[in-house]
Amino acid sequence: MDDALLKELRGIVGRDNVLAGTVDLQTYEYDAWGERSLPRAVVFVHSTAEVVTVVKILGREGVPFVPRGFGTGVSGGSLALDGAVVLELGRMNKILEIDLPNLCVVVQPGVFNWDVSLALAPYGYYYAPDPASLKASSIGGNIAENAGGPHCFKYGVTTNHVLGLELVLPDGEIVWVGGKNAECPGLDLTGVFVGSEGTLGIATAAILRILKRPETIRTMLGVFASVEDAGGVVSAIVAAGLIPATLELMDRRTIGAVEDALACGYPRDAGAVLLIEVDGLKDGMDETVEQIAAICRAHGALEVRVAKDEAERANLWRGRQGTFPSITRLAPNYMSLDGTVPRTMLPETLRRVEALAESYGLPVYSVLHAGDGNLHPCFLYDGTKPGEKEKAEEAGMEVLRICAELGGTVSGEHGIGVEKLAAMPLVFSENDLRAQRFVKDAFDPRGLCNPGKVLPAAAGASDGPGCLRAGAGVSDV
Amino acid sequence: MSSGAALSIHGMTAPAMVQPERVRELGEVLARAGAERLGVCIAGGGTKLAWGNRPERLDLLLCTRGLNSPCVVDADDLTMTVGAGVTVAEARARARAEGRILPLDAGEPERATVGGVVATGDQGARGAGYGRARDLVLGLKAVLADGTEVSFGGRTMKNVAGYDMTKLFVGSFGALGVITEVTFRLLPRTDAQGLLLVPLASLEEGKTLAAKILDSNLQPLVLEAVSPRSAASVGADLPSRHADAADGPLLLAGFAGHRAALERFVADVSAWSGVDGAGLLKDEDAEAAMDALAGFGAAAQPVGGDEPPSGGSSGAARRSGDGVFCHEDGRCLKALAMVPISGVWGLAKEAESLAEAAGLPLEYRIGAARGILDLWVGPGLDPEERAASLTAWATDLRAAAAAASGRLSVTDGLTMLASGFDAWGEVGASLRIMKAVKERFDPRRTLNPGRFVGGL
Repeated sequence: MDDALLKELRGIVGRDNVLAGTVDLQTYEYDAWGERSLPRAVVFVHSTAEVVTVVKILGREGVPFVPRGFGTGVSGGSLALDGAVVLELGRMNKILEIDLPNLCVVVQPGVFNWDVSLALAPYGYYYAPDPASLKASSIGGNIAENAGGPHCFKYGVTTNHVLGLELVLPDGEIVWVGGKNAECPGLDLTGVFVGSEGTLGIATAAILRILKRPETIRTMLGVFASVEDAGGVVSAIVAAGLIPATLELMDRRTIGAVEDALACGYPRDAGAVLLIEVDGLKDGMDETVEQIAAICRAHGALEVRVAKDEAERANLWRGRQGTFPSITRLAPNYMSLDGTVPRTMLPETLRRVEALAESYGLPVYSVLHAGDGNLHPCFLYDGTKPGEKEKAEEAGMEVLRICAELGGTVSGEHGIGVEKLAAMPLVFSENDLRAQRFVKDAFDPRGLCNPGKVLPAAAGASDGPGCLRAGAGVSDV
Repeated sequence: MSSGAALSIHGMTAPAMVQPERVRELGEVLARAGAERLGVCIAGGGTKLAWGNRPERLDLLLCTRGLNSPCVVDADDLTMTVGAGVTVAEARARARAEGRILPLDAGEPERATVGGVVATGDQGARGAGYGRARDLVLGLKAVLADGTEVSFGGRTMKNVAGYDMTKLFVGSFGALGVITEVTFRLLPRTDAQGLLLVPLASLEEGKTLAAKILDSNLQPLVLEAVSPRSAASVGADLPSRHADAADGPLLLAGFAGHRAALERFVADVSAWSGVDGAGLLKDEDAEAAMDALAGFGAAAQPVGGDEPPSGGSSGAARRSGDGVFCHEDGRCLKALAMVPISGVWGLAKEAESLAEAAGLPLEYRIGAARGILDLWVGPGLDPEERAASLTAWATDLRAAAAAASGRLSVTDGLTMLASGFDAWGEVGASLRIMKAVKERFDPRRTLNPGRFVGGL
């Protein structure tokens, strides 16, 4: 990067807040997806005003830029492509306002997800979206990716909890979209910004909806002979008029991996376990828990364990929370998918994924947000062996094709980023993609903001059908 | 294409109307309309033709009622896909027949179409529990201004593939495309439901009680209040209304869930209200009252003096004999304020004071958990004088809403106001992006030209 520009940027944010040396930049050349691309520079910003100035300077020079939180994204969304400059927002980490009468908080983008709930705990409130990375990921990143988590079956994903945003647009202008008022006449720019993976601008403040902590939480584990049995329970619970907070499912191979690593007492001979959590008023809760247990038993549950206290609850969750590390330690590399299907299609989807894994000769471990129809099959492979990575990428693409065929989509919560660009045509026609490009072009006509993400190049511009790209990092499910 | 001399929006008459039966036909109509530089306004059931500004051009009224592909309910997946032209009542009945709830709580459900409710982002009293319209739509299909068909979202609860175009279309007032099909998330039917009717001495008392409920674990399905004279129109029969509260507003607190949880809800709210006369409607009765509350906007009509409110429509929109919707100017000014939830009571008070000072009869419905205030002012005024007084009232209340970090839209009776009064009010700096989006989706300004915010 040329010295005059570096000097100018340092003049704005301070000398130590611009990195340009190769070794320094290497820390920022990847995210949790794992593939690498060296940024042109990294600029640590501390205020909306600094973001505005930096974005304007980069715009003047025609230099692309990428907003970045803590790099926990798993689809390459914060990778700096095309010689982009990284804008590091992790230092904008203040909770600006806790507004209990209006049931919202105003936060900066660099606040950890977990810290929002921590700050609200004394008042009995919390912030509902709970991606597995919640202690390591930023609110800004959660907004960019429209992060999910185990509790979205009842409470919805990030977008359902974002009321308004302060945005620095790609040309450096500040605009507010939405507000503390949940309804706001006009196009829902807040809605289209959430999940746009940093390609439409930079969120420098967010108004988040907050919820009262449930009075009671009850957690149970259903043990089943097969994924089909467990899947039947999910439908039956819903049919009974119940909306549990979570319905998390693990297949046989995953149970084994978790037990090997964590020994949290999941039965190894089970075909599937279903982690069910219900929350709400204490009144009627015992009956609800018994009703769910009865549904499990009626669907052939081998065992139903209901956590009696917080320690037992924590133990049931320990296995689920440690699922990914338990799987990924088994091989040098993995490829994790994030497809969704209508929830009744989960058993069939898993059957087809199993058959696929067998035909490719790759072991597959599956963990599912069963309530949401969101599955995370994880293929293990050894990237040092020739052809293995390509094989995993092909198998991954096949999984997404299966999800699309069964009425689902190619990403439920991880995002498209760079990883799944080639999968977009599985669910979108050229007209659908063209409409999405209208949005990108309206926000960022010069294409400077996080180039190369989300939307594949227009038909005719690409070199034929691409393939899924495997990363190599620690995943977040 | 049928002639429809009676069709009008804010007094403008559409020379023609078209009601396509197939999506492909709709695409052909729009492509041709674009090529001929026509202005096309879109109507579903015609319940919200009075929303928005006067169109720049009105060459064709496009009715979506023909896009009524049958509802597909997937009970186990809790989803429902339905043609945009199907009425809300029909869609709800289909979900109900499968033991599910379509959580779309719109006024005039017998007329309002699914597509229209989604395009306007309308959500009624039960939105407190159900969520905003934008949170209920999993996917939708639309035809863009150039006639191309698009599909966004899908049938799954989670979907982060590409931009969330579904959100962009919900509430976009037909400015970007014509919605042809919508997929909703459904809810299971619950064990029990109830609606507690609490007479209030004042708006201040309502604010305190609502804040207490919202700061609890009770999670109400409904938390609304209606103006004193309107209480009867929501079917609230209160044999034992507290004497002191007889002239005050009525709070309606609804809950759905486990029977034991409902009992707890009733016990807590009753205790906090400190009113002996709180009435409780249960199950079917509660549901009927909540339905009536959703239709309140259509039924409520301010009256002068002590006359009881009539149950009829405001007269703003009527169905003519041949099934074509015509629209005459309402005799009643309707407004919709959107503020942070704690500000809604103060704004209702302000609306009341301003109306009283100007001698305008006023009715209101407060969405205490939604931050929504529905207002009805007029009628019975001298047409010569009403423009000045209504315009002053709307202008002052809009300023009060802005001071409370909110907005005020006029949703009926715009033509009674001084010319140039904008139905939506100021948008702010983000209007620039909205305009840029509109330019790309509809460069010829074919769809609802000029009717949406900022002249979109």
